[in-house]
Formats: sequence, C-alpha cells, structure tokens
Amino acid sequence: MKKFFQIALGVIAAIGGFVDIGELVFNTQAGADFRYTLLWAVPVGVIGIVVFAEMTGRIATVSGRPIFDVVRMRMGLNVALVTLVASLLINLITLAAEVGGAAIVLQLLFDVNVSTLILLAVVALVLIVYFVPFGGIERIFGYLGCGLLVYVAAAIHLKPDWHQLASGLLPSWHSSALYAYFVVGVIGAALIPYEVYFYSSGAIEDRWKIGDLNLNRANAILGFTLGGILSIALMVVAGEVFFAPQVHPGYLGTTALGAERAYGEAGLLLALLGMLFAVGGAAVECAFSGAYTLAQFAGWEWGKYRRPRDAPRFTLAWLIFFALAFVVVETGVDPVLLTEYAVILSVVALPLTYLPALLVARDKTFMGDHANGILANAVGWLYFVIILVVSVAAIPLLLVTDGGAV
Amino acid sequence: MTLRIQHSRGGVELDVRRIPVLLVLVPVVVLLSACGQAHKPGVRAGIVEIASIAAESALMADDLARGRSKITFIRVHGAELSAQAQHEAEKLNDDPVAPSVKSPIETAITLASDIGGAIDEMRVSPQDRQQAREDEAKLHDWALKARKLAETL
Repeated sequence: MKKFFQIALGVIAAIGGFVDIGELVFNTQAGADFRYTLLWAVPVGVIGIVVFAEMTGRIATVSGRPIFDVVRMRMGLNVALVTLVASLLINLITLAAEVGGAAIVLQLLFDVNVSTLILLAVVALVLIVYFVPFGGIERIFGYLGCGLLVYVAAAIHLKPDWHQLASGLLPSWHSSALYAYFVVGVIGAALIPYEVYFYSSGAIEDRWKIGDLNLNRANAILGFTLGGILSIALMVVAGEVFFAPQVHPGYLGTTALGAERAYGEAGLLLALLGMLFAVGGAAVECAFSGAYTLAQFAGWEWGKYRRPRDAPRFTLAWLIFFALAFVVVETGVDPVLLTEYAVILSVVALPLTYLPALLVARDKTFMGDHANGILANAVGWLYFVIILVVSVAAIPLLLVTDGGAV
Repeated sequence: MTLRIQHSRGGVELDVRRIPVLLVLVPVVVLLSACGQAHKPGVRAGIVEIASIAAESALMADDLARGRSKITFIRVHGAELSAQAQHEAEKLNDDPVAPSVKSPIETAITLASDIGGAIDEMRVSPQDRQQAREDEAKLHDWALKARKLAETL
C-alpha cells in the first residue's frame, strides 16, 4: 500500500512537473497553426523521455552515479567539458525563460510592474528551495501544477472532432519548413536534457535502491505519459480556439486565454495557477540541474539532502544560477523568445546527453542484470537516430522560419 | 593549391583555399543586394500578424462582454497585444517601401492603429460590457479585413 501511494504521489508530481514553458509555448503555437496535425509529435517526444528517463534513473539506482558522472566516465573529460558548457548555457537560458514566465503569469494575475515580479519570483523560489526538503519541493510544484489539468477538461469541453484528433496522432508530413520546425520544437521540448539530469540526480536524492527499480519504471512511464496528455490537451485547446480565427500565439497570456474560452474566469485562474507552479517547478529543476552537473563534473559534495553547509559549493552554484537568470530576465528579453531558443539549442545538444546514457545502460559489465534488454536497446537506438535527425535539423529550421515566425 | 578553370581565351586560376570564403561571401552579397526595400512576403507576414492580434483581441473582448474574464488579465494581456500592434505598424512604416505594396501598407498601418485603439478602450474600462461587445464586433471585422489584405499580396 505504501508503495502504491509512493507511485501515485510520484505520478501526480510528474504530471504537474512535466509541463514547462517550452511545452506551454510550442504546443499552443503548434495547435494554433496546424490544429491536430502535429499531435503525433507529442507521443514521439514523450516515449523518448520515458525511455531515457527510465534508463538514467536505473543507472543512478544501480550504480549510485547520476547521468553527468556517467557522461564524464564514458565519453572522457573533453566531451564531458563540452557537454558541461552546453548544458550550463542551455540551463541558464531555460531558467531565465522559466523565471520570466513565472513573472508574466504573476503579472497577468495581479497587474504589478514586471520587474518587481521578477525579483519576487526569484526570491520566493530561492527561499522555497533553501528551506523546503527535496520531496516537499517536488510535491508543492507538482501538485499545484496540476491546475493545468483544466486544459484536459477544456479539450473535452470544447468538443473536438475526435476522428480528426485520432488521425492527428498518426505521423504525417507537410512540405513546410514551419511544420518541420514545430515537429523539432515539440519533440525537443519533451526531451529537454535538464529533465534527465534532474531525474537521475533526484533518484540519488531520494536514495533509491535496487528494490525501487519498479518505482523508477512506474514514475517514468506513468508520470511522463500523463504529462504528455497535458501537452496534447494544450495543443487540442489551441487547435479548437485559435486555429479557425488564425491567431498565432506569441504570449503566455494567449495560452491562458484558451482555458478562459472554455471555462471563463475560473478556467483562466486555474490555468494561471497551474502555469505559475509548472514554470516555477521547472525553474527549480533547471537551477538544480545546473548545480548538479557542475558539482558532479567538479567532484564537489552535492545534493539537496545535504545541509547547505555540508555542500557549500553546490548551494552557491544554484544560488548563482538564480542570480544570473534574474539578471538575464531583467534586461527585458522576451521569455517566450528565450524559450524557443532554449528548446532549439537544447535539441542540438541532445546527443551529448543521451548517447552516454544509452551506452552505459546497455553495458552488462557496468549494469549487471539490470542492463538494457533487447527492447530497451532497440527503442534506445531508434530514438538516438531520431535525436540525431532533429539535432541536425534544429538550427537550419530556426533560421529558415525566423524562429517560427514565417 | 589551385584549380585551373578553362576559359575560351585561356584560364582562370582559383585558389581552392578561398572556396570557403567564397561560400560565405556569395550568400552574404546576395542577401545584402536583396535589402533596401520591403518585399511582399515580409509585408504579408506583418499584416498576417496584425490580423492575428485583432482576432485574439476579439476573443478576449467576447469573454469580457460576457463577464467571463478577469480585469488584470485584460489590462496586462491587452497591453501586450496593443504594443505588438503598434510595433507591427512601426515596422511597416519604417521599412523602405516598394511602390507595389505602398497602398496595402498604408491600409495595414491604419488597421493596426484602430486595433490598438480598441484594445486600449477595453483596458481603460474593462467593466463596460457594452463597450466590449462593440469592440469585439469591430476587432472581428478588422481581423477579416487584414486577412483579406494579406491575401492580396
């Protein structure tokens, strides 16, 4: 029974925690511009993150080593250094976007000067992270992020064409660069690397043992899949509300308007609450992810389960991440634009994260009886090919479509 | 290392080491030569954006007229949309104009200004449902006009 509740709590946290500003932006834009025809890209991305999150969680559980340790061990110092620099840069851009997103949502709720709200958001996040234990952080943001479930209800309430919706889940292709850009964006938003850095380090934070491998599998499969349903709901709502009047969303307010169209002010408030905690939770994950990778690369003591004075450099690292993100957002840069660049740049860096994970997870000498089976290897390699294709296509598509504007 | 490219009256020597430089320079020169005048695809994209702002604002006005929105949301998101409409108008105004697109650009700038004005009306008095209903009708109409205008380009 205790195990069941552990899984249920993890799943609920993962539903609220899966969606970040990348999903909010790309899925809404994709639904508005292409209605249901891009739906298939969501399960492609979700299956990918399930496969790799399960692998990295399993590696961390079996070996006690998080994914970045494995990158350094398997790929050598030089590649690890490149991966470190790339992931720190992408983490910072993503963190700035999430903090900016949280400030925008607060502004939509309270109509206060955005600079003040950026400061308020950063201070609130720092205080929560400093004083609340790891499990508590997961639950606060995960549970309250479930306000986004209003989009699942709205997607049904708006009476979509179920036949067309089902057709949209089957892969199709349009000969348009914009369509390809959104395919890359939707898949990339689901596979964004900070999620697996956080997930695998979280397995160590939560002190998972071999007996927890089923918990790892259940969390990865159920949590990310149900989180993926939220992404689909965002796309369906955008398809129903914005496709016909030809609205091209460029703001988080537009995403919120979709829920308002279905349920009025109550829908709007639930959506904004869900968005606030989803992007807030993602901001915490980004800051931790940056601090984890840096500490794991440098061999520092790390972990939220340690008191700050027992892991001072790790604590300083996530504090500096928040401070840098604050500076970036205070320059007035558009968080939605930052998100698009963060997702596309992270797509380019995906192979550096996922190849070492795959190589180690299939290595019987390292993983023993818990190495990948035939299915996990086949799906892993298939996804590695998909990752390579999207990573090569990402930058040219960003340039050709002017960041999805053309 | 050089390649000798045969010419009817002799040959032209091309240093292979300069090929990467040429690969960079040629597209840059082509792109620069295209600059200077606003072209139809760019103008069309600007007008499509104006139509999108009007359509989204009409949805917002409809919710406001039915008492299904929140004042802070109308003021903040309305400000974003109004500023974007103004920005699109400024871009269209500032780009050097090819004669064939001068008239549609002027119409689009007027539309953007009207759209921004209607959004600002809603932001100033979000409690006025009658005003919101009138704004919704106007914004809906302007969205259609902007879309038709974009289709002519």
